Amino acid sequence: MELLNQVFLKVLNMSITAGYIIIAILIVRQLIKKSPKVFSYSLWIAAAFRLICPVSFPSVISIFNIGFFDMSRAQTPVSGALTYIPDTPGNFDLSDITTGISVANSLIRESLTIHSISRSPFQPLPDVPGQTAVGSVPSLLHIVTNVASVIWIAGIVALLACSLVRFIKLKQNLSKAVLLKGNVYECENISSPFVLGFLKPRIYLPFRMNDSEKEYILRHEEYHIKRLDHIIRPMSFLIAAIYWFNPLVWIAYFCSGRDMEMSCDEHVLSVMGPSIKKDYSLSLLSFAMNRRFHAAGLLAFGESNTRKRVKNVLSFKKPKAWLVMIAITVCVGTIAALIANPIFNRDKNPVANEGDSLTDIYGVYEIMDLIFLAPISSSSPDYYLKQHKGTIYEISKNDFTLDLSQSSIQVSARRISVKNPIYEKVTLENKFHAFGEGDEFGVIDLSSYDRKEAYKVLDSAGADTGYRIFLLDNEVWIGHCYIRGTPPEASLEYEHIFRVSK
Amino acid sequence: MGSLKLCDSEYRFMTIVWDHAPIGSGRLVELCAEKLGWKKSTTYTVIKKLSVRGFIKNENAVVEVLIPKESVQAEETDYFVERTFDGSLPNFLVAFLSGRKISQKEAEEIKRLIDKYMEE
Repeated sequence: MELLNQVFLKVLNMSITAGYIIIAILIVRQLIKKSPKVFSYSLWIAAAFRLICPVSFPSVISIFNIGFFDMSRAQTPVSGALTYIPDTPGNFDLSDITTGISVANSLIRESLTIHSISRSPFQPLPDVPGQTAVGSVPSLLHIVTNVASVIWIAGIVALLACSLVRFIKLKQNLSKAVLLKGNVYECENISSPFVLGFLKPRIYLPFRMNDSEKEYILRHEEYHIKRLDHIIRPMSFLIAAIYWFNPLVWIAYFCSGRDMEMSCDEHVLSVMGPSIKKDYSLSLLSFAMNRRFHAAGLLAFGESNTRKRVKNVLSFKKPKAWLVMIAITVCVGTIAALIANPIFNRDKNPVANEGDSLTDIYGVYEIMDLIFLAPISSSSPDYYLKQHKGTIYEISKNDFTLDLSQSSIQVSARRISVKNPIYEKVTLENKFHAFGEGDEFGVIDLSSYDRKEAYKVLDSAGADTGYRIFLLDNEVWIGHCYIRGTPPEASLEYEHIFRVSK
Repeated sequence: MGSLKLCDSEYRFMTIVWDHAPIGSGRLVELCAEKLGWKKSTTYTVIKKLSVRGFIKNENAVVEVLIPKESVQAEETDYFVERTFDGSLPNFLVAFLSGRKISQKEAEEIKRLIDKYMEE
């Protein structure tokens, strides 16, 4: 069940990215609608990539770098996937969810703040990252995830089963198809010509087409086979079946199908010349009129495919070379921009990157002094320091680790490790309150230091672990804090701050 | 005896039978595989069906003609048991969107569109 949940959440996340990509393709497709349809068809490569491949590479060319999107929470520096909804079911909070769009995120965050006040007014952050206190919301989310995964799988099975039944019925009908020549068969009870079969594709024509009609229809179908459309199309259907819950994927499925047909139409016209335009479009019309299928009207929006195809056939001209050049450039650029992930965004979510000071101090540290101890601590500062001496901190790109095994603290976890941590830079003033606001107690004065930097340690999903690293001239401090209350009244309360040294 | 009309593929099959009958059913299967691209099971199904309808007789693995070529017409079927799809894979959802039957009105509009283009 957990595996199913994880797969489902993965698919859900990929579906969100793909949704944005599909909308982008639909827009670009409108812009280049005057150019040959093979270009519109090729744009769908980007959508297919996003629907098949969970990871991608970060690049400046990515469409997600524009300000409209905010992928800072969906992205981690190490993983190539964009994760809007954490794919560890049961372990996440509603506030971990992001949409990837700046405006939508801030709206959602506002409404979530209200909820979290009523939920957990005084809940300390957990010491061990990833193990969120089991509140009512995460477990409810878990149930929702379970139910949704089951519905998702059932939907796929139903779709594939229905297709299989149709396929078998069609194959029965096609068994009586009569060989015309090569791989071309004539068959009863089919309304339009088509290609079927993976390895040995056959072309099926209705009976009684005249010879000139046969010629251009065969060219059309042979071009499908040459371009492997007879394999691509069923694959697209399989993908659409997996993402059946996403209407944008279905729109992509049908639009890519139309682009595919139109580009084959254009191929035939460019090979056989414009003189066949009328006959060709009349054939398209007659195939459409032959249809005796009455499930129509359900989703019949806009123009029918036939009218669109006929218009496209009639208005077809061999494209000018310069137009083709522009279209190729636009397409290649668009596909690249849609396939790439954004660069990890420093402005929206400043983190330690190569070149930042934090990377210089990566290493293993031990405790030297106690800078601050919470007033509620039951031990004296001297005893507390003695107890904690021997704790080993490791700060590196891939790990933030606390090894307590050499210390004399009595805790169950001897080692706390944050894999692939995100070090998020925070601003430091000359003074800060280590224990709530407004009190004179706990004010830490940093004015004597020239370099003042601090980093939050977040886990790979972006959740605060409560650990803070301070870089003050040549000193390194490590503190652990809790957040009391909820924004905007939240305040930091440090449990302790140690000065550490390599 | 049923109608003296046959659908196109059955007519093609009968053409072979008329040319070769009386013919052993094994040999007929071979001929149908070669000329029509039929599987053995398809040929036997059609033999059985046309025997029931009284066009041919299949006794002791020999197929004989009961109705001469002159009195049979090939008829284009105008019913569609199973409609097929634009692409290649049948699935019922495609039918909703791309496979909708165009109305008479829309067909006329498209026809006008084509005629108008030819006049220009």
